[in-house]
Amino acid sequence: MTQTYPVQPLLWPCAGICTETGLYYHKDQLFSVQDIPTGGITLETGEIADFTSWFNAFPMAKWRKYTFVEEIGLRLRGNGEILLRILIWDYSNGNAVAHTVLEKNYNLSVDDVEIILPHMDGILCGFCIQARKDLVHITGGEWFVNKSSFKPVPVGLALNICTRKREKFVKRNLQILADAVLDNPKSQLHGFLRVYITDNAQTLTKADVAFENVVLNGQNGFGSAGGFARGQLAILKDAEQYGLTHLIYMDDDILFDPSVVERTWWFLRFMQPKWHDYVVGGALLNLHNPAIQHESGAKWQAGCIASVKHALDLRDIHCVLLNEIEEKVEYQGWWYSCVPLSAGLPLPLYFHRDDVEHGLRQPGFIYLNGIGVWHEEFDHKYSAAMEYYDFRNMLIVNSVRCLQYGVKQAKKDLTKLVINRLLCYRYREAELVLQAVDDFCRGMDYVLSLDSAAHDDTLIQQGYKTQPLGELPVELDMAEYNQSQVLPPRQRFRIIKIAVALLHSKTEYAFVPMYRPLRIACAKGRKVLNIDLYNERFFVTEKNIQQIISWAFALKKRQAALGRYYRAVSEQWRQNADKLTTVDFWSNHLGLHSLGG
Amino acid sequence: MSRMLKLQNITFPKPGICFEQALYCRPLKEFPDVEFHAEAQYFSIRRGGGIYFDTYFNAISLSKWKRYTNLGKIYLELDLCGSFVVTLLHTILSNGNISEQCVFAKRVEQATRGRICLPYPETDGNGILSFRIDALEDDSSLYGGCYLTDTAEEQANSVFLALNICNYARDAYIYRNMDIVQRYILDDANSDLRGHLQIFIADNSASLDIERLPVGIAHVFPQGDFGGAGGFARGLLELLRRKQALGLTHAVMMDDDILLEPETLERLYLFLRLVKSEYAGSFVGGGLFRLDRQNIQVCQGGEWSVSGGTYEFHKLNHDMSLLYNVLLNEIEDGAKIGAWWFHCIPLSQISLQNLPYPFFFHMDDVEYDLRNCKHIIHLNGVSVWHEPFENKPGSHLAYYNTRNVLITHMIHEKRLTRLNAWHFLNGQFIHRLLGYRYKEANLILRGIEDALRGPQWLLTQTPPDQLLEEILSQGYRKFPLDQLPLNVDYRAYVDELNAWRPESAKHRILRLLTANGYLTKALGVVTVLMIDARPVSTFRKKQVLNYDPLTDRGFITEKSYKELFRTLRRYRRVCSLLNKRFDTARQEYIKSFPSMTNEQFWSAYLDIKE
Repeated sequence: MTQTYPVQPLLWPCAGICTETGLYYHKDQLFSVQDIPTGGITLETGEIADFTSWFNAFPMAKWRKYTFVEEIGLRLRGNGEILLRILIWDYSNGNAVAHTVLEKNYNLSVDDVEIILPHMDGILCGFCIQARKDLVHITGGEWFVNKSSFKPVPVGLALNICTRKREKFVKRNLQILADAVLDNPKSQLHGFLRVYITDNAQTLTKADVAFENVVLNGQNGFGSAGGFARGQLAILKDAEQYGLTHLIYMDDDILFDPSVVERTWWFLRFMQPKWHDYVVGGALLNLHNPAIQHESGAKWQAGCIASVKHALDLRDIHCVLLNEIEEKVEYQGWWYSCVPLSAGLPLPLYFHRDDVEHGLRQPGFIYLNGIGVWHEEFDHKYSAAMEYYDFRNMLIVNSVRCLQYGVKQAKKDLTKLVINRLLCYRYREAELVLQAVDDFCRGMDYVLSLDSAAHDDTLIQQGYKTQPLGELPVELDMAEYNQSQVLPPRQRFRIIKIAVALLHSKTEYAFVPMYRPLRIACAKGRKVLNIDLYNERFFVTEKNIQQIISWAFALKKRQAALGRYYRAVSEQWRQNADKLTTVDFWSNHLGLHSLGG
Repeated sequence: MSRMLKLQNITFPKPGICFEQALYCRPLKEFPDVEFHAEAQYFSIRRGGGIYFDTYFNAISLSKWKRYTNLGKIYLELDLCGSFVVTLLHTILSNGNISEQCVFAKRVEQATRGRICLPYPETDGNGILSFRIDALEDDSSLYGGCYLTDTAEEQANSVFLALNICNYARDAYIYRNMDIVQRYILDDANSDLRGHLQIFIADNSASLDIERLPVGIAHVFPQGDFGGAGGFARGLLELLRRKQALGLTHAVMMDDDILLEPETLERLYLFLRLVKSEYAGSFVGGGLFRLDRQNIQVCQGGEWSVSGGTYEFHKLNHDMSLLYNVLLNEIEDGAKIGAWWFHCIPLSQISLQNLPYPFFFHMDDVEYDLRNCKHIIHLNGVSVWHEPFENKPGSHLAYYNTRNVLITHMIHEKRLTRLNAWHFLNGQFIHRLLGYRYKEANLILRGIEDALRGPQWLLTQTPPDQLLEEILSQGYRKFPLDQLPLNVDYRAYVDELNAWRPESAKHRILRLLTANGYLTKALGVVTVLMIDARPVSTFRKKQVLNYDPLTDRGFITEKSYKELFRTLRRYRRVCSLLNKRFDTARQEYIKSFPSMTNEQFWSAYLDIKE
């Protein structure tokens, strides 16, 4: 008899992780929240549960394409009499099409159900269960694969987490991992997973991470790129001893179901060698709206970022199917990115865009439904200092990886960005962008010598100081705040409209979101209240035509500087990029040689 | 485990107080799956039925409790019987969208009635915590519960509340509220507030029967009609004198004609017990809800605006049966003062030398808060119901509001100039002229004149109700509709109430060019609200019926060039007076202020015998 491998156990909503049942199954009658405490599902006579969902449908097409799998099967445990229907879903001319491949009665009380699927083409494989008689309990199950002629290869995974003052999140995620894998000998992944945490603020103690196979490294002032690189160096060092083959870059402030790591591990074990260099990426889901996908991979497009499969509602089968269709992806954010150990170290960019540059070096990306993490909306994490890093590092990344990006485009991007900030009355942000150009033009060595915690603090100081909403000078007008996020329907003459609004602001105060406000919304007020509702903070910016004009002159100067220095500096980055991503460079940069590390 | 401290009770709709279920809970299914037994105060739920408690009264404000109190870990205790799944929820407003997450869930089996306790996992951020229960078998019942914390008893503050109520011929309302206090607090062995409450009532109509008030708790002080300011000042004075003897820590200023949810007082007490020392001096404001539509919040706090010259309400007209508005209410958006329909003042912040200003009526609360309130906290569930303002009009308010606002400005607002005062006058005055309310326009002018006479004139108005009589006689009097020559157009009245009619730019310009129809011929009749006749409604109308639906009474105003010019002539005189007297009057008010707000002054003014 051939051995079977439980590559995708069924998942259930879980309090504290995700209780959005539509990501797990669809059920009409009783409120499925009742099943959360125990896991599993209870069905009354006649009731149907559909498991064609983001977590529990099997991404058959991807498994067939990327792995050695031939036969796929489904196993179910529980009790009661059920009617099981297995469906293969495909996408045809924009419509979701389902083919029933099996419909049969089973009595789970007698024995577990185990079915091998007939070979059929399709994107996803899902199933429905209908309770035939009395109460039916489904307590567990899995999609499994078997392959008599191929033995899965050994894979060792290392989670590479870089953190800074996020002790609560890190401890929570470690506890989740410990319960499911690290301290759980029953887990298939147990013994094949190690966790490397680099603490950039050195606020985590050994007691906080006192779990088996967890390594804590503390360092100061090397940003997220330095943090991830430090973890990666430690992983490379331990690779042979612990049989590590892949590492997963992971954010510190995400929330995830531990089964996601196990799914990644099974997938890698069956992967065909020709795809070994590919990145297995995790989708990014909205923590506060758990069924909504922010992206599943992204395109860089020389700085004009576009999220792939943005804003899909993953409770909807059409979106789940759409998610399986492969699109061009240029990079994967490091909230969850699994790469082979040969993928190389990041470029020393301190903060932001390190994942972009690393992604642009990789041969390809694979995404599977059911592999993803939840993360807070970016709107809640506003910092003016980001403007500096985003623009400076965009110039560096494009210098190294986008050869078609030239000085003309750089000037255009700079102009657009600065004018946008000025029209939002955010003069400090405009100043930070201009400072980014100054620092870039001073050359690679200057940037490398500059990046430190002290420099980061200076940038943060240069940004806006936020105040509690309780100190608002006027009452918060929610209607106007909501309206400020709606793009005007007619985009014609918008420059003229903004100019008119700017010259004749209608109100004393305009209410706009702190993160990426619309220019037209800001121009309505003489003062702008930039509001972060989630953190209940705000800051005020004010119209100042004099400032706008003086910064416009400063912009002209920086355009000239870019014209003068861009080619030489970008050439310098290009030539040294390979050196900057070596183990030797990073060991020196992080001072590990001197520490004997 | 040591005894845990209560944060707030789970409370259910109460017939006679509030039966607006959506303020308390949101059943997932209707009767018979979820049935509420009002008399016995419990829910019986069938299998498949469930109830959400993420509501105005039953959710707990995570951000405020965390920020202002010594809060430990939070627990939910439920008193129930049967088989349930209890789901603990954390809800936030994320970019204008509601995000509700289940943070813990447990299957609970209680063969007989008993209490279960579930911990909330440590939760970051703001928003509210709440729960949902789903019955797994028929005849499951929920009897109540509370939120608890494991903060040590020693960390709790000693709190003793003193209700300060001013009554004027609202005896029935007072008896009703006192019955509520008696039944739900004083007679309830589970009440935490019991034994920590005293009631002070200044009875301006000297009509209350003390026998009908809680024995040993209520202190009644009959006196003449000295208005709201005199009543509240008397209450404050008496309770401050007994502060040490009774161990009082907070005064709760409360209107006589409100309706009280007993949990409001209970919740206030529990909150104050845990308040951090740095917020011990914070005032706690109460939300104001409409008595006719009990789910509508009129406002929650407000601020004083020099430019507008008025009290600007915050969180205006929110339907609090909606979860979105419950979350929105949690956001602190700069409300700086509260009004005395329900307002808690720490006694550490005031003294016998720091009593209200003798305004007689209106703005006494605003002035007092501008003087004493450094920080104010509002909590969901701390609120009262009050008759809608549009049903409480009266021409005399035009006088008192104008006079007292100007005096308040002169005392507290250093930035106030003559020009500001003139703008303020214009705002009030022109509006009345355009609504053909010439008597009120004249009362506004008289308010300015009297304010400019200075504080000495104010003191000569004894007894102050004489002035009230005079003012009332100069204003409009309401008559029963059958005595009026016009009929009510109820549909027009409702349109007016909802103020929905949009006005085009063309129409606006037309109004402007014709001085709101004064330069054109007037036609027809319009029905408007008693509280306000909007110029757009009275445009080109000959007569205006000002209608009060509560009493079915009204009065008629009419376009009159004679009255207009007479009032404008007086306006010119008042403007000139404002120019002459403003600075002097202001100096006089500021100089005499301390001597008009201390114990000696009020004892003499109210003629209090020791």
